[in-house]
Amino acid sequence: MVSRAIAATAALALLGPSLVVSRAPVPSPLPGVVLWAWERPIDLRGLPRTAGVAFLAQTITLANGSHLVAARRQPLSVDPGTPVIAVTRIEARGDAGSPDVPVVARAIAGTSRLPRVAGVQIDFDARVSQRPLYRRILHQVRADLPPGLPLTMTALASWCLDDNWLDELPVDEAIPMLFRMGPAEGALRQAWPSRTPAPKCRGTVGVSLDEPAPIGPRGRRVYVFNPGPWSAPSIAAAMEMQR
Amino acid sequence: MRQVHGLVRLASGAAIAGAGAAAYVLACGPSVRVMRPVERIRPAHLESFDRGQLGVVREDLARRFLVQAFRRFNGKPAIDVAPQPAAVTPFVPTAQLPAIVAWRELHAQVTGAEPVVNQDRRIGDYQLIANCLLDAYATAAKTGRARVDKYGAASQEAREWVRAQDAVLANCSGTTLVLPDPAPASADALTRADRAYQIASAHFYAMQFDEAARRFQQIATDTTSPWRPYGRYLAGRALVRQATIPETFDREKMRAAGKEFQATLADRDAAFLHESAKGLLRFVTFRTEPVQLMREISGPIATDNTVTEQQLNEYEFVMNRVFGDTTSFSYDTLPERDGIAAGGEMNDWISVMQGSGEAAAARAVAQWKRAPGDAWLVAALWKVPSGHADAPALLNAAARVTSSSPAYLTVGFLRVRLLADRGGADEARAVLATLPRKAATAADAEAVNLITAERFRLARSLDELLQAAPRLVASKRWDFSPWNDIDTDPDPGDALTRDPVFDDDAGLVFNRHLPLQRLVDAAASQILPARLRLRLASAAFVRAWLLGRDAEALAVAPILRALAPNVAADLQRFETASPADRHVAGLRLILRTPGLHAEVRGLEDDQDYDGKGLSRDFEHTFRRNWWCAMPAAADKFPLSESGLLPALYRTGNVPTPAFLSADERAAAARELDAMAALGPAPNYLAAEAVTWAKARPADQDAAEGLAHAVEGTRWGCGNAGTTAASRSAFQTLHQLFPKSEWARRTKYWY
Repeated sequence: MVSRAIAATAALALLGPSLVVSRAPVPSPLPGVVLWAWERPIDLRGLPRTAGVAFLAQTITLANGSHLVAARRQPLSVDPGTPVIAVTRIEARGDAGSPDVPVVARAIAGTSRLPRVAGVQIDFDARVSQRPLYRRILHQVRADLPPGLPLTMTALASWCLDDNWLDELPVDEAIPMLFRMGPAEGALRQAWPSRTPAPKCRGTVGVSLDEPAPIGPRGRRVYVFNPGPWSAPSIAAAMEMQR
Repeated sequence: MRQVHGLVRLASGAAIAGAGAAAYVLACGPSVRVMRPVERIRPAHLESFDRGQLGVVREDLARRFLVQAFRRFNGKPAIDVAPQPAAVTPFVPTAQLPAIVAWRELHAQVTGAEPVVNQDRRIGDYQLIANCLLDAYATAAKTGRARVDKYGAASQEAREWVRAQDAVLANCSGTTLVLPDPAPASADALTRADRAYQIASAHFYAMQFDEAARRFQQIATDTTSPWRPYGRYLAGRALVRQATIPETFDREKMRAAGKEFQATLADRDAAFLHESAKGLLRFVTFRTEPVQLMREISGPIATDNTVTEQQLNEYEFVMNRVFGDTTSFSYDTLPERDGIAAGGEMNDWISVMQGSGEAAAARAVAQWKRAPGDAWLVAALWKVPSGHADAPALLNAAARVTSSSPAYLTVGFLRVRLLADRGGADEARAVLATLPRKAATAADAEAVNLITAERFRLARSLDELLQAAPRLVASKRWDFSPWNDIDTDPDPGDALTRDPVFDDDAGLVFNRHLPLQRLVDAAASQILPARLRLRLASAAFVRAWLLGRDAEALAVAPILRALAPNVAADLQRFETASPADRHVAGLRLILRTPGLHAEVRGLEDDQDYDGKGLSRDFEHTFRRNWWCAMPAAADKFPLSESGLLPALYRTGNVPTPAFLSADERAAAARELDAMAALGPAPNYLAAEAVTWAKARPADQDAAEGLAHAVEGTRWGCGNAGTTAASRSAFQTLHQLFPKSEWARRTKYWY
C-alpha cells in the first residue's frame, strides 16, 4: 500500500539508525495455532501437534518508577512436545514513572529459561505516552534473549492499522487482538479484512472463541483466547479457527 | 473471626485474580463509561439496594444482591451488600518487610552475614508457589532472638542454630532437600528439640510432606519440647499442602489434615493456635464438603439481623465453588441440586433464580405452591414460559401483591412481561397504568426504566413509542469494570438530572422496524428531548438521501437545521437546491459532516453522550464516522450489552411495534435491503464523490468532497472495496483538481 509505505519510510528516516532494527525473518519454531493460557489451572496435555500454548508466566506491574513481578501461581500441564511461549503481562498503573528497564527486561527474558519455552511474548496495552518506555523494554529484552528465540508482542487492532510504531520494534511478530475491541469494534471489524496491516501484524491473528473472527487465517498463525476454561470442545473449536 | 479471615483472604485473592483476568480480557481497546438505563449483574443504585429498596430484582443479579432480595421478600431487615473495597496493601520490597528485616538483623548479628531470602519455589508445570510465608521468617527471628538471649550472640549454640535455620530456609526456593546437621549428642534438650523441629520444617519446605507430618506428629509426643503444641497443627498443615499441591486434589489427605486440626483444638496447651486451626478446619470443609459449608454459612446470612461483609464474601466464595463464578447456569444439569435445595431455602431460591431450563421453572413453581410468598412468586414469574399451565395462577397471585411489598416493582414488571408474552397486551397495559411513570429519586431510575421499556414494547402509536423511548441514565461505569468493582458511577445521584438516553430496544426499533416515513414523523414530533430528536432526525435525513426520497429529506431538513445550527448553512443549501442539484447538495453536506449517521445509536457511552451537535471532524479513536454497512432486513440483531434486552425480551428479538401496518413493515424491510446494498458509507460516498467530480469538473466543492471522501476511507467503516474506492477518489482529486488546496492536503489514499 503506497500510503503506508511512504509513511513508514518517512517515519524510519526520522527515527534515525539507532531505532531502525533490521532483522532477517526467523524461521519460526512456533506452531500454526497457539492457545492463550491465562492465570488459572490449565491442563492442555494431548494437544494436537500443530498447536502450541502461550501461557501467562508472570505479570509485571509498573508504578511510580518501581516494578513488581508476580509469577504465575497456577499450574499449566502440557505434553513435552508442545511448544510453549512464555507471556509477560505488563500493567502500568497511573504514572509508570521510570522503572529500572534493565531489571524489568531481565525478568522478562528470564522466562525464556522456563522448561521448553520456544518464544517469549509481552502483553502490554501501552498508551501513546508509554510507548517510549515499552520500546526501551523491548529492545533490552531482545538483547537479553538467546539469539534466534522469537520475541513477540500482542497488539491492539488499532496499532496494526493507521499506525507505524510497530515497524521499528525488535519483535518477530505482533499479534493483532481482533476481539474485545471496545467502542471501535464495528469500524475495526469492517475495516480489517480490506486493509493491509502493519508488517509485524501480517503473520498472525488473535481471536477469541466467543467472538466471530473478522478474517480467516489465510496462512496466518492463529492465537486463540478462551474466556472460559480450556476443554476438549473448546480446544477443537480453537483448532477450527485455523481453517 | 480468624477462621473467616482465612477464607476471606482466599476469596479476596480469587476475586482479585478474577477481576484481573476480566481486565486482561477486556483490555483490547480504549475504554469508555457506559451510560446504562439498566445494569447487568449489579443493581444500578447500590446505596438504595443496601437500604433494602430493591426496585426490580433481576435474575442476573450477583448472589450477594439476591441475598438481600431474599431477606427483604421474607421480612428480614436490609443488610449492607454493596461490595467493599479490598484493603490495599502498599508495595513494600521484600527486603524491607518487618519479618524479613528482623530475620536479617538477627542473622547479621550472629553470623556477620546477610541471609539468602527467597520465599518462592517452582513446583513444576510453570507454577510458582509462596513456599515460605512471612510468618516463617518472623518465627525464625523470634526464636533466634530467644536463643541469642539465652546463649549469647557469639555462642556456639546460637551460631549452630542460625546455620541450621539457613538450611531450613534454603528449601523455600531450592529443588533438593537441604537438612540441618543433627544436634550433637552433647547438646542440651532445647537444642535437640530445636533441631528436631528444624529438620521437620526442612522436610515441610522441601515438600516432603509425609515425612514432615510424621516428624511433626513425633514432636507432638515429646513432652519436653517447647514445640510440642505445634506438632499436630503443623502435621495438619503439611497434609493440607500435600492435598492441594499440585492441583490434583487429594480428598483423603485433606480429611486426615482435618483430624490433625481437631487434635489441635483438643489440646489446651495449643490454645494460641485454636483460632487458626478452626479456620483451617473450615478450609478443609470448604474443599471436601462445600455444599455442607454453604448450608452452615447461609443460615445466619438468611436470618440474622446483621451480616458482615466477611460473611457475604465467604458465602459468595463457597457459592462460586459450587455453581461456578457466574450468574447464569443450567439448572437442569446442576450437580448436587438436591443437596443444595436441602441446604437452606435461600440457597435453593438463589440457585433457581440464576438457573435456567425447565427444571428451574418446575422447582420455582413447586416451591411457590409450597410456600406462596413473594420470593418464590418472583422466581416463578422469572422462570415460567408464557404457556405454562400455572401462569394464570401466578398472574392472579401477582395481582394481589401490594405496593407496600418489597417485591411490588419486581412482580409488577414480571406480571406485565408475562401478560405481554401471553398475548394479553391490553391487560398488560392496564397493569402498566398502575406502575410508576417517573422516578421520584435516582434510586428508582432503573426500575422505572424497565417499566418504561414495557410501555415502549406495548406502544399503540408512534407517540406512545416516542414517549417511552427515552430512559434515565441509571448507571455510568467503565466498560471494563467488573460488577464488583468499587469504581461505581461517579455521580450516582445524577440519574434524574442527566439528559436521557436510548437503550438498545429503541435503537433496534428505530433502525430495523420503522419505515422512513415514520422516522420523519418521529423527528417532527416534539415528544423526544432535543438531543435524542437530533439523532432521529440525522438518521431520517441520511436514509432519505440514501434512498433518493427527496420529499422526506426536505421534510426533515428544517428540523435538523434547527437542532444542529452548525450545519444549518449546508442544510439550507440542500433545501434551496434545484431537484437536479439536490443529491449533490446532500452529498456535500454528508461528506462535510462525519457526525451524520444513518442509524440511531441505542446504548450509549460517554463518548457519544458528551458529543454536541453533528461533528464536522472525523473521529479518530472510535471511528464513529458516518455509518457502517447497514444490515439487511433478514440479518440477525447485533450482540447487545444492554441489561434490558435479556430482562424483557426472552426470545432475544425486539418485535416490530404493533401499530405498524403490514405495508409499513414491508416498506421498512425494503428500505433496509436497499441501504444494505449500498455498502459502508466510505465506499458509497467516495464513489458518489467521484461521480460528482467527473460530472462537474469545474466545481471546486467537488475537490473538497473528494478530499473528505478519501479521509473517510481512513477513519470510517470499510470492507474489501474500501481501498479501491479510496484510490479512485484520490486519483480523481489529483487528476481533476491538481492545484487545489484539497489536493495538496490529501497526500495518501487508504
